[in-house]
Amino acid sequence: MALDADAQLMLRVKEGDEASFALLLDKHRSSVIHFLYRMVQNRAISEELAQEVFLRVYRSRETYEATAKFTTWLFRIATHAALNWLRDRKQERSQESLDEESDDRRVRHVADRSPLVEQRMVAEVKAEEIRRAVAALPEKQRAAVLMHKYEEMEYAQIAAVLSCSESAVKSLLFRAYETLRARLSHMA
Amino acid sequence: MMHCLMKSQEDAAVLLDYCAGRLKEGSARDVERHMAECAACMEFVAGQQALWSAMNEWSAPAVSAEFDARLERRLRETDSASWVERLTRSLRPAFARPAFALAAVCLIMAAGLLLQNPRTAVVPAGDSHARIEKIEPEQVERALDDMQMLRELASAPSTEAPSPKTL
Repeated sequence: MALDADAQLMLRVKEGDEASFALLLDKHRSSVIHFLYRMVQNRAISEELAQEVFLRVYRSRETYEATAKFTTWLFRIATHAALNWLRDRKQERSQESLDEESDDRRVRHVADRSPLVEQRMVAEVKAEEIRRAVAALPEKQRAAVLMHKYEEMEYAQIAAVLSCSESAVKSLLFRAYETLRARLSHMA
Repeated sequence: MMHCLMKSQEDAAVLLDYCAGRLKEGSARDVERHMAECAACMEFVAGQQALWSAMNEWSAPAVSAEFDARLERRLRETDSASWVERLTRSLRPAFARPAFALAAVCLIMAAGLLLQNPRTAVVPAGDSHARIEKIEPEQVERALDDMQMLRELASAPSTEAPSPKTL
């Protein structure tokens, strides 16, 4: 099996090359944080979880085996982190994250004085609706949609991340998009 | 002719790939030809494309500037703690072995018995005495002589020491 470039970098990290870890961080920092942000919908939490993800990658360097694509392994860690957080959060039965984020948004509106403010506000209202619709999806469907739409992952890779079959992923996506289309039909 | 892709979720994935622009040119043309005659697939694709374009409006915020510095700090902490981790990791397989666990349980039980009943668990004084008894040089000499005699008897020819059969 040919190793992907990231897996080769990770193998170098295993040998003690810290510069390779910096390269991996640089390459995947944004995608991991953005994925986590869309999963948990809170900027501070998403960055905290991303810290845990990269720390876990670094701590696992000695036992790392390049058996799968590096991004599959990375997103499996990230997805687990997000799902665990969401489950803990669910137990707390709180909507704080959504409210906090809404507060962030309000601050941005006030600060924004560009001539395109109206246009931007419309876009932000749209984004808010999408955010709420995605947040209402079951966790696994949400993860599948985010990886498919925003990370442009293949079905096989999403299946490997979520530890399920490819047809299960297709089914998850079909149901998730169906729900989103119904909820957001007025935006079309 | 291509059958309706909306009939199964597996096939509908082809339509999702079409919307995402992930189909090869030939396959994309096949889907377009099929859509020209299939209202259900056409409707699905129109709805999905509208959804995807709406989803593009949802951008994630920029990563905070201190993210890397914070991570670097935590990585350094990890490195300084790693020698403890290495030590515990090297001991972990030993603790996982059943024999080790059994020995540990025996030890704990013996210690418990000793603490609970210190008198009954003590070895009789006479025995322990015998173990540390001094051996006199004469005793050693006698033992060596006896061993020599036994060796000579064993190496003596059979005529001198007839077997029970010949008697």
